[in-house]
Amino acid sequence: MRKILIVSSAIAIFGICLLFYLAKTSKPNFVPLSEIDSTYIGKTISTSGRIVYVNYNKGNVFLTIYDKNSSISVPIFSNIAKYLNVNLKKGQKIVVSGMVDEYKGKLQIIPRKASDIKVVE
Amino acid sequence: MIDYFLVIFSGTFIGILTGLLPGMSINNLLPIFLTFTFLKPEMLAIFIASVAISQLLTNFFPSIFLGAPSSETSISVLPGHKLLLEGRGYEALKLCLSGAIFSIVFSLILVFILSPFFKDFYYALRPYVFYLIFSVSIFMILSEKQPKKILFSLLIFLLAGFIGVVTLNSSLSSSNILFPMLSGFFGLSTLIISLKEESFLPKQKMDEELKIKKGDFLKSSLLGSAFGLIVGFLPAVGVSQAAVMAQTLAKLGDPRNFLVTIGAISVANEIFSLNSLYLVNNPRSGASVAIQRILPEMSFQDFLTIVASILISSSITTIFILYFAKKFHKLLLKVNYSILNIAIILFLSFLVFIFTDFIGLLIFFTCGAIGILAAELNVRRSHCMGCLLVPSMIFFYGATNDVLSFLFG
Repeated sequence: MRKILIVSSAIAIFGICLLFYLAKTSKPNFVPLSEIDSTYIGKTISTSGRIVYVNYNKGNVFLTIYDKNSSISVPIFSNIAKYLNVNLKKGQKIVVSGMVDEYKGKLQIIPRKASDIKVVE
Repeated sequence: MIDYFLVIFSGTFIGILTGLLPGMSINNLLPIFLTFTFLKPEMLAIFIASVAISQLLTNFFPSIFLGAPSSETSISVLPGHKLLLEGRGYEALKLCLSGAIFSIVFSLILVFILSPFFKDFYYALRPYVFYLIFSVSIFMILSEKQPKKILFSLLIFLLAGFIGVVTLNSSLSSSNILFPMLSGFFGLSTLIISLKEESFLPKQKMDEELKIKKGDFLKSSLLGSAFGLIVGFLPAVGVSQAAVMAQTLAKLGDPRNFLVTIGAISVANEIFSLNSLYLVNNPRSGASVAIQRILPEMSFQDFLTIVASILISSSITTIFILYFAKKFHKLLLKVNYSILNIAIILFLSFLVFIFTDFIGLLIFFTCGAIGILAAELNVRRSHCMGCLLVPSMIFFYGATNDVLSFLFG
C-alpha cells in the first residue's frame, strides 16, 4: 500500500476521533445576557434569563428571555420544539445554548437540539 | 451621481484587496462598515454590495491560480487547477467571471418572472429539498460506476459528512468554520498532491479564446442562475452544495461548463439574497443582513440601484482581475512551483489559525487528509461535499434533534 495512503488515512481517522471527542466534551462558554452583543454573532454560547414572552406558532416556539435590563429572542423551530419535554411559560428561568444570530436587526440565540434548553427555576 | 460612482469604486477597490486574501469574508468586515455613518443609508448599502461582489469574484483568482480558496469558491479549485496545469488558468478564471457577469442578467430576468410566485415557490419546494439533496448525493456516488469506486466514494462522502455534522452542530462551530473545512478538502489536498506529483506550472496561454461552445456557455450560466435562486432563499443550502447539485443533475463533466456554473451561482446567490430581503424581508447572506440593518424597508428602487451597483462593480472587478492575472502569471512562472505550494500551505495554515484558532487547524489538516485519501483511492474529491450535503439532508429531513442527541447526548 502506498505510504501517502496510509499516512492520510491515519491523519483522517485520528483527526475525526479527536474532533468528535472535542465536540462531545466541550461546553459552550457561558455569557451573561447583558454582555451579549453583535461581536458574538456566529459564536456558540450559553446564557440564562427569565422568559418574558412566549408564542407558540405552527409548531415553533418563540421566546424572549430577560436578565438585568437586557433581552434576547430564542426561536425554537418545530423540528426541535416537538422534542421539548417541558411546557415553557412566562416567568420560568431557563439556560439556553446555541449559536448567536441576527434577525431583523435583533440578536437571537438559536438552540440546535431540545436539550439545549433547560428550565432551572 | 458622481458620489454613487465614487462609493461603488471604493467598495470595489476594498473588495478586490480583501478578495485576494483567502478566508477573508465580508462578514469579518461588516462590523467596521456599519460604523460608516458618514454615508447616507442607500450609499452604505451600495458600498457593502460592491465590496461583497468584488470580493467574491476576486476570490476566484487565488482559488484557481494558487489553490488557496475561500469557502464560497472552494469547489472551483478542482476544475480550475486542472486547467491551470494544462496552461489554461487564465481561461479558467475568465470562464468563472464571464459566467458571473452573464448570470446578473439571467438572475434579473428570473427575479422579474418569479417574484410574484416567490413565496408559493418557497413553500412548494421546501418539502422536497431533502429528496433533491438525497438524490443528488446518490447520483454523485453512483456516477463512479465501478463497485469498488462506489464503495470508496461512499466512504469519503460519509467521513466528510460526519465531520460536517460534528463541527457545524457543536460548540466547535463558528461563523468562519467553513473556511478550514473547505480549504482543507479542496485547497490543502490539491497543494499536497501537486507537491507529491512534483507538478510544474506550464507556461500559461493568455489568449482570450474560451474553449466552450456558446450554447454550453449559455446553458451553464442559466443553470447557475437557477441554482443561485435555490441558494438565495433556502436555508442550509450554500453555493458549494448548489454547484454539486447542478454538476450532478446536469452532468457537467467538462471542467469549463462547471466553472461557468460556479461563477453564475455565486453572483446569482447575492442577487436572490437581496431579492429575498426586498420581497419577504428575510436576508440570506452576510451582506444582505447588513443591508437590512441599514435599509429596514427596502424599496424596489433601492433593490434596482443595488443590483446596478453590483453590475458595475462586477464589470470593474472582472476587467481588473483578468489584467492582474496576465501580469501575475509571469511572476508565477519565475517561482519554483513546489516552493510556492509550500509557501501557500503555510500561509493558508496561518490564516486558518488567525480566523479559527487551533480547532480550525485540526479541521483543516483532517479535511486535507480526507481530500488526499479521495485522490489516492482514485475517486472524485467532490464527494467531500458530503460535509455540507449530509448536515443539509439531516436538517431537511427534520432529524437534527435526533442525530445531535444521539451523538452528543
